[in-house]
Amino acid sequence: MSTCFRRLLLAGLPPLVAAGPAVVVLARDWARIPETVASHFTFSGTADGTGGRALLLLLAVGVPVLLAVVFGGIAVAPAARAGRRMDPARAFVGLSWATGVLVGGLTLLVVLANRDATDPLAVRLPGGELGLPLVAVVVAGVIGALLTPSSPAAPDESGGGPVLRLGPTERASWTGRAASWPLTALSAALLLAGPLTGMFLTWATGIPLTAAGILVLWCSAVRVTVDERGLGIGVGPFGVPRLRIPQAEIADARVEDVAPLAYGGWGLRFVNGTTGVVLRSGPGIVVSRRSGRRLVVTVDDAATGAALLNGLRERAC
Amino acid sequence: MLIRVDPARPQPLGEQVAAAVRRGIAEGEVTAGDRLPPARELAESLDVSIHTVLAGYQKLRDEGLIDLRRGRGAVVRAGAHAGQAGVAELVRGLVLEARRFGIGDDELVELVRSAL
Repeated sequence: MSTCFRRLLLAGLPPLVAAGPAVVVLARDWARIPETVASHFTFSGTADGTGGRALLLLLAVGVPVLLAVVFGGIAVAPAARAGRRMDPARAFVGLSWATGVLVGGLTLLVVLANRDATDPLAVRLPGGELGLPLVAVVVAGVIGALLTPSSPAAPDESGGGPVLRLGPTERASWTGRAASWPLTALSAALLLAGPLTGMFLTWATGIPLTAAGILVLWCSAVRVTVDERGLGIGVGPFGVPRLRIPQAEIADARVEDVAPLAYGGWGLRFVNGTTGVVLRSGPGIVVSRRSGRRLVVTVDDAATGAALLNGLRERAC
Repeated sequence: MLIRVDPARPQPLGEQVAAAVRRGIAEGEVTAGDRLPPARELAESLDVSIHTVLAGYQKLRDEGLIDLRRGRGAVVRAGAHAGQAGVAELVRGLVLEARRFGIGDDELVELVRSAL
């Protein structure tokens, strides 16, 4: 199920589902509803306005359908695109759930209060129970927001990196590699020195040296993958350990000519809000995350990888 | 290397994978000795079945463009230079065009032979 469709369901269905109990009671007990019903209440719960019982139908069916159409429509509209930090789509689905439960719950209370009533103005809305619906409204809103997949962030003001445009059903996967010559050379030296030290001097030093050589060799190459899931960086021949940034968290990707010294050297770096996987100097992909953090990975053909990341983000709902 | 496939296109997905790799070799994006992404990883990445990717890789092996060995994965062959992949890609294009215009397979082989 696409993110778009899921968000449509998440935003559109709740008002309809929440109206269910009121609709069921209305349908079953229609004969017990008086011709004239209490339709307006003061804050304390006493009726101060009346109307035909068709009003209840409108409240139980018409309003939820309208809410479903409005919320569902806005949730998938391109205008609901997320900003860099905030994700209004999630807040919006939360609002839909809260409103749905509020309308559905109140309608149910009004229907129940009017059932078997003889004098519409004597009808009392059970005021003491207003606390419980309120809690339900808030809880529903929070659950709705948490269930919503986050939407792609808009690129920052500076315009964003290169974009590789994709067809609506097209799937793309890009793989790039980067190897570090200094690290490969270091590992070769260690793998040579380790066994030699062991054989001619002592294995107490030889074994750790050999182990270090294997470790350095493992870390001397990475494979970077870009696809629908986002950006993945696998270390070593089997891609383990693996770093992953989900597509929805990526605000923008661009290419940078990476100078290792700017990140304090080679390897896995953490420099003021930026994570770096720097194996060599030269082109690398720089990903700006929605959280404001950045990730830099040096990789061959970085331009294609960055462009694909941006293309996937633009196509996402 | 960038691999793009589209289920909406008439060619089988495996053939599309093969075509993308051929293009990659023809354009020098991957060269002799380069390792292609492991079939399982590429399948997960493209959200297709592993058999689809393997079908594509086997096609490339049959064309002599890659070596496919258990444990070592798919490696671009030493003999697979850009020109060969380019020709293989042109032949695929030729076959697709011929089918589009209703030219039978035997008829196409005859046409090619007559041009040799």
